[in-house]
Amino acid sequence: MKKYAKPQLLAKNLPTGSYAAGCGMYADGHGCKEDCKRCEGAR
Amino acid sequence: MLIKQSKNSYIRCTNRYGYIVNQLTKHDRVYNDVGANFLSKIKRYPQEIEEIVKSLAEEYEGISYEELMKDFIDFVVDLEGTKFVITGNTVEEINEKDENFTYAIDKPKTLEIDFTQHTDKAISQNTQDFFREEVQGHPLIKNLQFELSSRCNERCIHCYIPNSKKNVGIDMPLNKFKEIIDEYSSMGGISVALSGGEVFLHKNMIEILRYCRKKDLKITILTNLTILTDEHIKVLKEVDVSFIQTSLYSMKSEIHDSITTVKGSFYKTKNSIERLVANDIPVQISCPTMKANYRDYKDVLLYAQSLKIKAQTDFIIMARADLDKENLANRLTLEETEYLLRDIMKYDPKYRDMSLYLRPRSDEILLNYDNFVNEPLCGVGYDNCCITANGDVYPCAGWQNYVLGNVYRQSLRDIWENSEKIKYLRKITQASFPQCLKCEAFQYCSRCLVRNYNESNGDMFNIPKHFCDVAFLNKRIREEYEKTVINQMSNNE
Repeated sequence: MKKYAKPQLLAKNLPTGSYAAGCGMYADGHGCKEDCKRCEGAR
Repeated sequence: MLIKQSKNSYIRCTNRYGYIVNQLTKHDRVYNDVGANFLSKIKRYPQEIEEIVKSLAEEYEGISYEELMKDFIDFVVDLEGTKFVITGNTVEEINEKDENFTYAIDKPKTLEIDFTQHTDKAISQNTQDFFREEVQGHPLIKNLQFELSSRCNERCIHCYIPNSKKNVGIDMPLNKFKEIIDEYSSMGGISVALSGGEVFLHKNMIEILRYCRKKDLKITILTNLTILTDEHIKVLKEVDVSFIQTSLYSMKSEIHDSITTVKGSFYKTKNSIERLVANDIPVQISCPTMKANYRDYKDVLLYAQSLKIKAQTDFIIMARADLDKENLANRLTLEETEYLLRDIMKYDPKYRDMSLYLRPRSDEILLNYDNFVNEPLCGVGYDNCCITANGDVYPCAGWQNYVLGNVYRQSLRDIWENSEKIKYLRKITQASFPQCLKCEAFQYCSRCLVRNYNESNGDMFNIPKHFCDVAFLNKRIREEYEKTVINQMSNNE
């Protein structure tokens, strides 16, 4: 038997952004991978 | 009451934490060990909540069934609010509530730019930061990008993959692909990005897609869409692909074709985009801007908008993976970049607004400077890596020349955990670029190891002057705009 403690939310996706010139991931014709959310909205 | 996992969500649990992500809303969450156990009970098929709670009650001491039921229901209600899970009284009701992606709503995810997750649970930690801390010492690989075929039917003038590689024509054998995917799944992997070359040139692409679905992986595809068949579309729908990303360079066929160097490619790509939209398959356009098309990108944006999809532009071209810089001849000069940025500011109110409301990280950094300088530069070596068609494992897209190992000689796990090169990358932090920490344009710049490496003859720490110049340009334009807005506001008062 395991000891019980209420389930806790530790983290969730939060809006982040920077004034990046571009992450380079989609500058090459191969497209950015949607999993990376750092620059989301910055461009 | 029945519960099941939404078809759009993916769950991965360890004994330390549980992770859930939804490919439709792009929301994700991390829970503690008990939350992980709760999550692990929720399956892709409907189950009675009572049965789940009964099984949990057998595992825990010091809690009654009633209290456990209350906690589980609270947990589920919060998850259902953001469509991670679905509940209902019947299997039919649950299946009906399980949403498919569609363009037939005001703002499908292909158009949405704000993926902020609103919950009433007070939480300040970002998932990315959680994983950065969590994975110290034992990084979790979350995304694997496959260059399934080195063959490509286009020869884009700016592409970072050398043409010599495309000419050789290697495809990853299906059995090897499955073997790697099996191992990746056992390591806790969540997403695969299928790329090339041109992925649809791989003769087993359909089996590959179905195998990824069988292994419960979130699928993204990077393709030029020129050889998409009706059968491909049927299977893409069947496997519930998360996203397809393609490049469209201009709405003038001659300009697009001059970049791909393949006559007729514009009409093929455009036609396939429209077929995907008609079939409710999420697609987005990348429109890298270079000398040939920087005065035409707006038409691509408008076209995308008319289809309820996004077109992302970017003017940073990266040198080739074999360190050849010939493709950079297509990159915008600083003057052309300024023209483009001012044009975007003028044309795109969303970009303008964003430049005001997205605050730089400066306050956050100043408050916790010691922590910041020890942060990794990016996710490289932490949560994703890539594999070429010949089995070379490399750290991120475009860095094929920095080989960490080869899956024909070692296991993926061995490379991920023990490669000296990946260990070296994991030691690189913001402090590895001391000159940048003091730079006035720091907030307007994204330091990128691959870009440095490919353009600086293999020196990942040497930042080409062009990137610094562009950062200062960004800073100047944004500050000018901010001043204009402030003046307007004071004049109005």
